[in-house]
Amino acid sequence: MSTEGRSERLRWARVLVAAVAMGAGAAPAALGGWADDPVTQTGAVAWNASNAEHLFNRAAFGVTPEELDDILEHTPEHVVDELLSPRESAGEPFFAERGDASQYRQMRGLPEEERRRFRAQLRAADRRQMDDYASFWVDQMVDYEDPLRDRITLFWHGFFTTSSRDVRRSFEVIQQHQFLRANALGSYADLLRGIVRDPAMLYYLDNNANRKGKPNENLARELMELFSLGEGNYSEADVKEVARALTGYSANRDGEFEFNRRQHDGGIKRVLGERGRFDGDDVVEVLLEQEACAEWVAGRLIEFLEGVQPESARLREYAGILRNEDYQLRPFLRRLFLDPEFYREEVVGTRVQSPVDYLVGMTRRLDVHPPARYLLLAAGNLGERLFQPPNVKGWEGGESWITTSSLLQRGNVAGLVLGTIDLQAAFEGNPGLGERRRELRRRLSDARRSGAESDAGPQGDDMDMDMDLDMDMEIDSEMDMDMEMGAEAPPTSDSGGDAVPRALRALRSAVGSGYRPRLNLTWRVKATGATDDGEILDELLSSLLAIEAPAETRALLLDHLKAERAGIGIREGELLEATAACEAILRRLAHLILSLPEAQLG
Amino acid sequence: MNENTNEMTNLDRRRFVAGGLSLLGGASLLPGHAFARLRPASSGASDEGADKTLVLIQLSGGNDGLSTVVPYGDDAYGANRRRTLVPTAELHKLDGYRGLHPNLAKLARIHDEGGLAIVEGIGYPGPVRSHFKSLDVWHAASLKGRAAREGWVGKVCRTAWSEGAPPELVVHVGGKVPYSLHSIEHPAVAFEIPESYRWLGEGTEAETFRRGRDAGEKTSVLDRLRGVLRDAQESSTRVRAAARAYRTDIEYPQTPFGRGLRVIAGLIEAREGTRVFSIDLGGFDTHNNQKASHDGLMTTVDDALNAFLRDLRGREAGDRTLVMMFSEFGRRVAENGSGGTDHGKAAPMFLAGTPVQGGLYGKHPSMTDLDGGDLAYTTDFRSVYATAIEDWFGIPHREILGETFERIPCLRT
Repeated sequence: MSTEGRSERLRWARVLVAAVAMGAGAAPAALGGWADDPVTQTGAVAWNASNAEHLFNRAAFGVTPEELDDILEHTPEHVVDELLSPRESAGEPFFAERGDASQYRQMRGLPEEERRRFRAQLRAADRRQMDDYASFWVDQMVDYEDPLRDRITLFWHGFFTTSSRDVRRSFEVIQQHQFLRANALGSYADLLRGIVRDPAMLYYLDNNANRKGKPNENLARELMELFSLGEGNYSEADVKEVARALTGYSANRDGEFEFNRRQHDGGIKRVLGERGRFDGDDVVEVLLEQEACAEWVAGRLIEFLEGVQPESARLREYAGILRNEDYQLRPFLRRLFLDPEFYREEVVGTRVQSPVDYLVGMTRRLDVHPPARYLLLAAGNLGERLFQPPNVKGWEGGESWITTSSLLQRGNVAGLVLGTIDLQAAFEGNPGLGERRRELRRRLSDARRSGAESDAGPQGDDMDMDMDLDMDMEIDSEMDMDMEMGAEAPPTSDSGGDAVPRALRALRSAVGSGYRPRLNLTWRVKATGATDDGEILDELLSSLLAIEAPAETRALLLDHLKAERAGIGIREGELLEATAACEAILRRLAHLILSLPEAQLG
Repeated sequence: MNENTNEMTNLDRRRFVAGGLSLLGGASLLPGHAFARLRPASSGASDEGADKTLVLIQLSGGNDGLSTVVPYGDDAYGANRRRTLVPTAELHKLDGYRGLHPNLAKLARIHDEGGLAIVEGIGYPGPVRSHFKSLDVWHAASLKGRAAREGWVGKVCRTAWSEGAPPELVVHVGGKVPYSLHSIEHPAVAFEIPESYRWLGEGTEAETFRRGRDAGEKTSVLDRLRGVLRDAQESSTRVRAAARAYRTDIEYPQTPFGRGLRVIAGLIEAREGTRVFSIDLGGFDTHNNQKASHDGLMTTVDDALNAFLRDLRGREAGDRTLVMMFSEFGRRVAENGSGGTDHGKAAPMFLAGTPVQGGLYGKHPSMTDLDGGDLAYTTDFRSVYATAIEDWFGIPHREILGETFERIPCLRT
């Protein structure tokens, strides 16, 4: 395919070429000393199209054929160093606004009805900001300014999980994500140190309620089980002691960390064989000293990037690298990406892409521009709702992404992007359900009224406010569930007899009535010099798939394309001249390719 | 294997046609026993139980058993619970010691009518308080968790129902398939709502798409995905048709859980050959201000499960349906500092439906002789599984569980 007429997506590739052109042998200056570190020296990686594409499938979000041509002109060391090198600017950062406590104070004197309305507005604004930020992140992934950073941020996003649905404070959740993204390629130790003081995390795992004499073990347990050591490498007694050490670690109303001395248990604790008047920061240092810690982090990272768990000798080797490098990620990743084992048969082309991988990869490969909001919603429908992990362990990943339903839905999502699906026609005669939000509010407020009496504590107004926010959240989350479940829209936005299930309708509206896929497959394929059916198909397969198409798949699709062409009475070799008919055929063929099992791997 | 595949494909084509006809006003689906006829009689299980169904309901997050079946008659209950205390006066008392949560009014009636069995003090040796590890133990029915290599339902499928089974042998209504259903040979059919369980391509694409699933042995990821695609295409038409055709006078609550159970009822009625259904209800991880959220969850369970049980009761579909409801663990006896409860150990399990001999089973754990602040289990959950496997499905439970467990005499004979 020609690079002409393409958008600035290719800027990343141009940056790569420029940086690599700086000189053979020497690492770019910005890389500092780590690139020369002896631990990164390994045997040679066979540098061919398949392996180069594999590297970008895993370290980024895929490549286009023309990017691949550029990449193959350079050594794997240079390409990996460029992926790892800090970018001068990753664009203008998102500015997160913080709702102000005074807004809540203003409400105090108001009648109940108005307060309710006011709270609902604040809550809606908060959710909007969260969505805006999530869209902003998806845009960054698609823009490819710093794809490795976004790839690894996605790892931390599922490792140090926090659900915006539980925290309900977009400012804090955004701050956390900006912290993870800024340090994604830095040091794991710094991430762990930061996360025990992270307001969103302290809310998510209830540490605001962890007080001297009244421990709440939620953060303590997950800190060891999921964030540092893994199950089996600590005792129940350690959980209790770590919970004591974390007492008083809280977040204040300005969205900042606050050490609440009065609620901190200053006594002596015993944690993993160490003894002292530990606080949360001390505990983190104890955790970082454990052999299990580096093994846990290395194992999770390798599994994320390779798709399979490393066998134990290899795991120990990589854990050793992490420990010896003070938990710095760059030397670790450099070694991994230049390790011939990373390119072994068991690994290449055998990983099921996550929904985000699939969607970002598809968007780049097609060079289309659906709104980020669409990609976000679609990823959620396919099982990867950013900022709302299914639980504190994050997303399970791998083959669990694919169910009978999600596999069909991936194809639908691609069809909406390509404009080959007519939802209205597909769902004629499917009745809607009606009355949802009102019903939920009625039911919840009944339940809450009966619960309120026993729960009204000294907090008075605040408690009341929290409860109302709670209720909104619960309705929101049920409505979100509905969206996942494909049920109807709330009455306010219900367009009468629309029969399309809600999940798909939400996607359609996120794509927007103004959205048309701005692509011209006919022109692109033609520009590569392809003419006959086999060449046309190969061009589409190489640009749309992250793996090489198996022979039987190619044969099946070739039969299909030949039949389609013959069906409109056009001879082989002349299809690309029949522009309008050809474009429809190619788009439907692209939809078909992206719906196949082959398109889910990479 | 290949022969079977072809057979399924042909059958599916016929069904596809039948589904299309019913859309145009034809009366019904193919006769429900199509698969039962295809299934060879040799498969270990006796054919007598060939259309029995188990519905697994998972309360995710660790349901507080003490707020569900409340031991109000025990002083230690009131002494340990304040902000999460369920007031005695509101309980549906089962006897002088325990009562069901006030919001379980409908299930209490079903209990009184003999359709609900409560097995108390459920747990397992060496309990883990991690959600994930504990769920793995439950799902694998093995203390080794995932080291056991497959889910317990997957193992039942492989052992007893492996040949001639339709893709819908195991159906999960929801997004994420639980590990209990994991199986290389019989991955579960999963969907959230039937209406959107379909691929929207048309015409010749649809035909090519149907051929894009021809798989060899399921040794590679790609072949497994092709198997999933085949299952998806074959079941999608039937599932949607069954949901569309289902008629009932019972009004299910408009919650995802209620709607999911309604879909299950429709599929049971349609006899598509499903042996195990699975559905989750989340939100039980109540570390904080438990009372309000747990009260609401009890209502959700009560409304939906009541509708489901009443819908099936008195009908043939009800005679062949057993419901099993569980959670990965109970919660601490003592409250935490924030009006909630932390992860604990033993808790009750529930069996419901026409086949059930209602009442109390197992033994309520001591409220004072605790295991590290938790209720110590008195009955292994695998005893309940053994009951379902052997007394319900007619499969020797040792073949599945690897050990012998005492079964619970809670099914009518």
